[in-house]
Amino acid sequence: MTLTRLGQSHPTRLSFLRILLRRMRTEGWTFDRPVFEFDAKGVGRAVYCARAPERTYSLVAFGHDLPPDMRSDRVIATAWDATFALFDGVPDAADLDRLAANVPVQEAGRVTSSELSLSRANRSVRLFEHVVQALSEGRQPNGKALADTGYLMRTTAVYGSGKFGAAAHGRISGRPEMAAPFQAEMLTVWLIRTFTVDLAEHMAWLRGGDVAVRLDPTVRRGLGVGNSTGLGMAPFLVRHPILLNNWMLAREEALARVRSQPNAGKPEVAGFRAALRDARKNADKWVSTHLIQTSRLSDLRCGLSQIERYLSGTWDPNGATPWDALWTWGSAHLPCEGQEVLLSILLEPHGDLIDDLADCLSADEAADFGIKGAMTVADVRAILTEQYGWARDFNYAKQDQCARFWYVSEDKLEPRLGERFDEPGGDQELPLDIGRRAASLWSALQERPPEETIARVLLEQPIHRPMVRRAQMMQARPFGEIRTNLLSAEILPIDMLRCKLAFFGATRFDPRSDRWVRISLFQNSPFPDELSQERDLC
Amino acid sequence: MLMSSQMSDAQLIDPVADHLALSMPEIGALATRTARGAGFSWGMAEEAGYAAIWLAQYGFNWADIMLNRLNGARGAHPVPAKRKWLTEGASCALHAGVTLAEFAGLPEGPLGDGVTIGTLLDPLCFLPFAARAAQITGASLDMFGDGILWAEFGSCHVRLAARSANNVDAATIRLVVSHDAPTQITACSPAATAGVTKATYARLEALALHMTVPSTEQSKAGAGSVFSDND
Repeated sequence: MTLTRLGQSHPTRLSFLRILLRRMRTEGWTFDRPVFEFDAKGVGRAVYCARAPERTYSLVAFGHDLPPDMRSDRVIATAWDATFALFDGVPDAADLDRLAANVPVQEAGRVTSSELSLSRANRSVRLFEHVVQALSEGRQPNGKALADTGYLMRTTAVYGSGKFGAAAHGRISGRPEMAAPFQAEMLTVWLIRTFTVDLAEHMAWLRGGDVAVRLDPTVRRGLGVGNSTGLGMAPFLVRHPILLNNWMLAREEALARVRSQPNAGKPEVAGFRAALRDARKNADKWVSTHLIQTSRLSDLRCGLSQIERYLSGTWDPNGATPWDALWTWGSAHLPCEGQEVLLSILLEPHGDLIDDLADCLSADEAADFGIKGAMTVADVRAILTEQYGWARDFNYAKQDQCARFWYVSEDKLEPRLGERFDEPGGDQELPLDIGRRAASLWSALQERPPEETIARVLLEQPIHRPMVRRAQMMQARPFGEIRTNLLSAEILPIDMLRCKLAFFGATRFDPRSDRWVRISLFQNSPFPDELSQERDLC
Repeated sequence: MLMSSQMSDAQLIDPVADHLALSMPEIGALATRTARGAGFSWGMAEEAGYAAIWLAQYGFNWADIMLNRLNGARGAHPVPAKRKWLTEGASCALHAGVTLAEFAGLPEGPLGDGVTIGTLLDPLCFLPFAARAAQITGASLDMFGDGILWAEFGSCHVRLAARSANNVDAATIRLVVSHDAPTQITACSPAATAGVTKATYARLEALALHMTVPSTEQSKAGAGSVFSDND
């Protein structure tokens, strides 16, 4: 659970977008586009309906003519190439007018409990124009240009669960299709992907008329939706330790189930080899100019080569517990990137064994919020010993171990990371310094009688209330904490982003700085018109 | 007393309307930031977020209640004791509430002979914590303000008579285990959204700004990509 390892996470079949795709295919969801009105510049509106067995969800999309000098992926932007809301049901004309007045201005507007998400996207300028122009001239776009970018638009925010007036997750979490984490957000992005292609084809048709052609389905398949994100996402994993625990626990349980299999069936071995080939293809196409990511990509490719050699040589699929043997070997010989991708590949052919774990990913975090005051000092110490021993490995008084601080920016109310000794604002630090707080609580409890109640301790030392609450939450939850000093000068926020994005199902992680990243979602996934024919999702 | 939780969303986003409809996560986050901006510790600020959501869910004027508490006299912090808590003057209802929940199952809590908490400032802030105490203990608790039954809390139900007490600045609070059948007080179901006037919202935001840090050129530059987004 160190941040360095979490920062090398790979998507698995338990990632949230995979859960959505499997459900939509299994339940036979249907899709239609009752509204699609755009001019040659891409200005207009569209509605995409996803019809589940019990309910319909509709992506409402607005296209805009954005001057290049206003195009920014940052949260400080005020205009975008396209803006979206996921509507709970099918919007009528009045709903569309209401959304048209609010969605294009994003944070400056308000949505309602009829909306499940609010989002926006910017074009990949060069690729979008290249695709439109090529299609308008009756030819397919350059394959390398498509592969290099991998998307026509990238989202710069996908707000859900109560943001800006939208429905809180608790309102929809009782629906089976929305029970797993971030399903409304994943559905939003998947429908946006279709919209980006539809818009490019439509603009090409308006430009080229009868000469224009549609995007080849094979080429189209390689397009995902980009996402550009920064520090705003980083604190999520710290603020939601029960969710993080559940996500990691499901992953570890899945791995344990696979390792415990006494035999490797032929379909599973074939599936494993196919997943390894896909991972190799993905690694070969995955580019980044960021120094750290370049090094990790090298580790990844090296690790995949090691796995390939091991499979063709030493590994005996007919031996006892062959998957465990493979994992044991990998743990001892592969670099961290290689181990993480091996885990992902191992899970891939074992859907029947592990897919039910998708039901274990969510949590009612409010249920554990209240502090159990009757717990004794000895009990809290035991939790700290069990779950927070790592927190005492750092000397938080040293300048390099408290070099950073997390705070909320005044202008956009977004999380930021400051340099404690260079920037003002340290007195407004957010309580994300978990290791330091755990170590401080540990020290405080050394002075208290073991039989004393924690309620009595907090009466005298209320400063420890957040950490006591957290420690109680983490009792019997071993995977809820990033076991790294998040104040350290060495901290890499992009590692927090990659961990969360991998759980989403993101690929092509491409840092643009140590706290800003681009990724791709749904690349090589089916489009709505392909979903029912898909065989490899389950 | 009841705010505008019955108001339609469409009404609430009308730009010329006087109200905003907020989701419960928004209310919780805003109250937490506001409490922190008002100088409360992080632990108490988190509890203020919980309290604001609870009050909003049950139709109280959560925003004014919280603003009064956060802007008003800080009040004392009561010291739990059996049957009657020790105080030096009127206490902060948020602090008293958090303390009650933490001592709920202990001898200083409401089980047995009940407990007199003493005089609380903005006592409606105490309600969410009395509800939590009932959940923690599994007991049905009756809450009295100045000797009048304000609410009944069970592990699975909330019955409120206190809405008309919205403007009470202070009251003496007592909690006892309920041994009687539920009274005629109507049971309540939590709402999904709640309203706030734009003026009150602005006051909350202004207070919350005290917990933020102004951007510097260094922080702005560091938060984004080092490359152009216009590619």
